[in-house]
Amino acid sequence: MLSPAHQTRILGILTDLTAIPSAEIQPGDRLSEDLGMDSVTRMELVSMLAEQFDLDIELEEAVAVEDVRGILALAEARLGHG
Amino acid sequence: MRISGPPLPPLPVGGLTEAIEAIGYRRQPWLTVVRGREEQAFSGAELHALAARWQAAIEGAGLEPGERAVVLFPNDERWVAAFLGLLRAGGVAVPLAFPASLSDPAEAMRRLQPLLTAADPRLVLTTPELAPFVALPSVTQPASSPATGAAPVRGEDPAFIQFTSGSLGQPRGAVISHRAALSCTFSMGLAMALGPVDRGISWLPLYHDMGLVGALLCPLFFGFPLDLMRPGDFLLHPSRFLSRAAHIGATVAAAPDFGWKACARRARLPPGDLSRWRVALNGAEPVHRSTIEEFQAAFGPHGFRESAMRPSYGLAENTLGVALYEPRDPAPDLQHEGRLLPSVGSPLPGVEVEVDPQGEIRVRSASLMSGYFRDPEASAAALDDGWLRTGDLGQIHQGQLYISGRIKDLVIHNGVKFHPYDIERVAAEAAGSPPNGAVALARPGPEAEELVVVVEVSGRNSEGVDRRVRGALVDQLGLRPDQVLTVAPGALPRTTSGKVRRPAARALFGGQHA
Amino acid sequence: MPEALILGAGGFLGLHALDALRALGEEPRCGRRARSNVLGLRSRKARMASADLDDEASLVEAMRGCDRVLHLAGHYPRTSLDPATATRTGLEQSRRVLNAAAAAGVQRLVYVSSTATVAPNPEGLSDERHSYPSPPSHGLYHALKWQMERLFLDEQRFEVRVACPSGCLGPGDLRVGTSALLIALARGMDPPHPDGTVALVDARDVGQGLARLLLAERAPKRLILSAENHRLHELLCSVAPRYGVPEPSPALSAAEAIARADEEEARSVRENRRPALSREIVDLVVHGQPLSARLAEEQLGLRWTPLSQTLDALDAWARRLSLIPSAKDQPPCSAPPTRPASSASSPT
Repeated sequence: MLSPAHQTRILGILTDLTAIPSAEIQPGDRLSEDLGMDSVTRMELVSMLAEQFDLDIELEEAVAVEDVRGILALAEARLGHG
Repeated sequence: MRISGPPLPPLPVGGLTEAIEAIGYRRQPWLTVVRGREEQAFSGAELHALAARWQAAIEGAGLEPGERAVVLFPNDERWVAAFLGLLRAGGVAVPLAFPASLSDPAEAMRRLQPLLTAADPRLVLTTPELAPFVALPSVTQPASSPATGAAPVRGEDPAFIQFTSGSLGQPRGAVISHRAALSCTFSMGLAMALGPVDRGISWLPLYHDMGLVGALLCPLFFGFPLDLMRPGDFLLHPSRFLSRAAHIGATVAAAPDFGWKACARRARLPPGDLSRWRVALNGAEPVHRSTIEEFQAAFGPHGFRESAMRPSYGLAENTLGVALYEPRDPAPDLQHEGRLLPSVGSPLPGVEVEVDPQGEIRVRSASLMSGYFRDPEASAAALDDGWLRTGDLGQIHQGQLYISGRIKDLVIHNGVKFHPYDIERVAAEAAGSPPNGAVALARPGPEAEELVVVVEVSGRNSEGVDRRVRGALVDQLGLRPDQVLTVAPGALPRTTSGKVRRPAARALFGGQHA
Repeated sequence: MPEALILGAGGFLGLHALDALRALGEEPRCGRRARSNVLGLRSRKARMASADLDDEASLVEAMRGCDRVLHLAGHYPRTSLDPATATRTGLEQSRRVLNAAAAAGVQRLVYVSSTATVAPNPEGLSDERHSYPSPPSHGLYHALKWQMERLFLDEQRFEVRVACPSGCLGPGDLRVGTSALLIALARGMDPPHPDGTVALVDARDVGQGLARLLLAERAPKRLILSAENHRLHELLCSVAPRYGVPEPSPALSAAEAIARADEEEARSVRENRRPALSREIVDLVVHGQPLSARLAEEQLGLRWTPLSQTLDALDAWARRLSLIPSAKDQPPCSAPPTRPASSASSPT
């Protein structure tokens, strides 16, 4: 599991980009249809994730992220546990 | 008031196909395709051979000179070779946006359907993954052997059709002739002093006018090599674009304002030496002084010269470039309704610009479109006695052009134009409101123009309306509004016939910030 | 990657070929003789290698690592007064270039010859099929160019392609051939001239043609590079208004022109100056053929700059160097267009 601190930071990025309060964001929310992110903003999301956690993420992984669960899973896979 | 660029010297070649032939003699790398961390270089001769094989496949599929084919590829050598092969076959290219994700190709093609219907092509040139979802004959591979020789073309023959908006209602295709494409390329090249010693780098999608003309036709015509990145790689890693530019000693690149801002804000690593960079063309959407300043502050210390950042103005109906800022001829910003407008310079060679009494910018040049494809009414409205009505508002001050807004209620978002009609239709539908129950407004924001969508919602539909509207706009138009406001039914100002009164709506809602 | 070498890169056509090759991404080596003028190469920051046509070892050294050679340094006798020496020099230098190329492992050599080697076609325009069976007897220039070209065409050790550019005009011209007459006319000197057919071409187009001939995978063995055919006297008359000078005096007869040129050449040697009329240009005009360069258009995709545009460029250059007076009330663009007597290329 992703640590609560990491999770909070990722939800914070989502809030910055979508203006939707963290408390209202659900893991099943789709980035486009539910959170209203366009393709540029979705790239920005992954880019900010990469920046804040110092990760190297390729485009193929980035376009595969379609929902909140996906971005959390990507972070988890790269950051490991804790 | 009218201002003119210097005369455009006679064009040295008669058609794009001749420029394609010339590149075939180049043994050196001409196109380097960058995918993520991988790269692949193609010499001019290799790319020419590939284009000739695409030409053979296109001709084999029955395309006759003058017929249209859609070009639908990711930003790589397939796009370039299929496009050049199509032109060699005498065909007319219709570039369309390649979907960002292929997880649902049927849905991706469904979204392109209005444009496919409008373009009415003979063929679709695309990838094997998308072809099964195309309801038209498609070509997905080059032939095994090349076609010999290019079909003869005349200057007035159409070369490509540039669809100018993401509009669902009425897609409009600007028909660009070989002569217009060459004039524009030559004119921009002269203004930027492009030549074989230059080195280009681009992440712009090639289906976009700035990508096609600025990133592909300029290197083709002026014979300098290009590093071509995928737009997604740039958006994900602006640093990689910059460090690659430094690494190859790039001298020229073009992007909309938001791209330069993304570099300034989000590039993480020091890029390396940027001192060889001569031209950073900033256009396709309003240019912001803050972007220029942030970019300079971030990359001046890495050798980026202030004179390299060149605000510009252009539109697909003039193929691309109209005016370009010349740092040797400096001009102050203009104060306009509390905003600072940077100068976009004076007209390019062969281009005349005037601002009519209503403040609309009009353009006359050899680069003008022939008209909108199969739309005589819109063509007649746009082209008035050899002058293009741009729909943009501007001012001329001491020989320099400043862009202050738009007459047509277009919304430009990340360099792409949208008709408010489409935004309103989608928003109203998502909110469960009547078709005239929404209005889309652009308002000046602290950094870039912002898009506000106001929807009338009755109490029983109000649950989650913000999300539904945002989701629908992104889903159907790829557009993200900055703010969605909900108001009670009847709150939007209307004419007696029930149409929303846009200026009044803007006065009511355009000034608010979330 | 194997490189290309240009022999004669510093000359008028050589610089245009260098520019065209660079535009295609090649960075050719440029051969230079010890005492040659390399200002044009210097200002272009070209890579230079010593190469002397009288020193075969220097040629082998310059060609090492090169797969292609563009040879524009064929002997060009200043006068026609000493045919024996000129012929010996021209042929010996040609053999040295060929032997050096074979020794250095060159795969393709493009030799720049002349349209002096193209024979008349009684039925109309001459093209690559029309050549003299033996050296023409018009004068030294024609005979020498024929013999040199023969040597190159007979080469078997590697691929040779021969380019035959017609009268080259354009920026950078060192005042030889037809442009010498044009510049003299522009300076109000009423140059003595014979009449006959002159085939002309923009030097930049020739540069482009030579670059493509050097790089193309497949190309004809012999290729004419020529744009328009004119009658010389008519051409001079039609361009006189462009420079605001009176029409030139009537043309000399062929016999008069030859006598005048021989006399001028003898005097030029005595007085160490350029002849006002050279025997070579007289022979070229008197025996000039209307040419067709369709093959170059078809095989290399070349297009020819119209003469009026070439003259605009030549004028701008010549004015900058004060070779002709600057335009005051006669901007070059407003000059009447020159009219081709017969066009070598069909309209496209």
